[in-house]
Amino acid sequence: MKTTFASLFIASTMAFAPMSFADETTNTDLEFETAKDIIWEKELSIYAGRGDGDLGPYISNLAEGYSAWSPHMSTPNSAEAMYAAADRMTDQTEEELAMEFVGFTLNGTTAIIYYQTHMTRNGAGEEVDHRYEVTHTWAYEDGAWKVLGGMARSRPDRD
Amino acid sequence: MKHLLSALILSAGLAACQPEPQPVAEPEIPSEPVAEEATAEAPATAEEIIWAKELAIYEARGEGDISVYLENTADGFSAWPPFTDTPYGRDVLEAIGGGTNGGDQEELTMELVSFTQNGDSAIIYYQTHMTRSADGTPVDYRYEVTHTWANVDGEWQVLGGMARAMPERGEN
Repeated sequence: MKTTFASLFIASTMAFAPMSFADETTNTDLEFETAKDIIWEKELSIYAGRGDGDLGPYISNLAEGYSAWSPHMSTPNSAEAMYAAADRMTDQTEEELAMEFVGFTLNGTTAIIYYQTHMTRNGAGEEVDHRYEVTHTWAYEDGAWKVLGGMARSRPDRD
Repeated sequence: MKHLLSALILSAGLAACQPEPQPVAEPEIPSEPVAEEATAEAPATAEEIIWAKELAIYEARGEGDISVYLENTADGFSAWPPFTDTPYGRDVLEAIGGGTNGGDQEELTMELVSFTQNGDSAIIYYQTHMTRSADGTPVDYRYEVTHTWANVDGEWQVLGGMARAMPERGEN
């Protein structure tokens, strides 16, 4: 697996300032910059694992109630679908994929991250050129940021 | 504006991602029995509240009124529609009228697909089918949408989301 991670901070998206944190001001995990760094690192580790055919890092970061809507499904998937996919993916170890950070926002114990991915080789080793835009929602659960759900789309043609 | 709002709960989607039951506050018991008030309705669920807000947002948007959307946004609002390279915040949302640019002719139906909640975080998934754009042009646009809602001081507010043109799919 040769995954390249690039963190491109798009200035215009960073204008979303940190919010009030109510009673959680003493927990640095809930501070804007810290939460952003934690969650982006988790996203990178999730994709690094996936590139090696290992969904373990993804599964270990799932929040209770996880539900995400990938572009190829007509309805969102649950954690159970993730567990099933993990068993099927162990031989999908050839993925090459770059990630670019796009944006982040936080309010209390809810955070959203936006990023792009560019896959140049799929897990089976075939050369591809797939660009996606992704959002994940993260919830702070039992002292840790966990992914609650999200959506991805093929990058639209924009002119 | 002939806005048709329908809530079709796709059972497959809901069955796949039911959230854990959320604790419900103990009802307040009056010290004196009140005979005529035994009909207290169960509190609306987060799903019911949020879906109602989504319907209200689109209903108003279809009439060229973006204020309902704006007043339901959380601090830090940031959403990524398909037509922009990056997410945008409240200021842009207001400037473009939520994508209507001031038009009030939109006709659009909505179908709830799924909902999940974890504490003060919730995600709703739904589909929209626009048959007339805000400027009155007949169209046939189908979108899939997610919004993330945060419970801020006891009120659900939309923090962000994403939409995509409905992909063409085979069976899955």
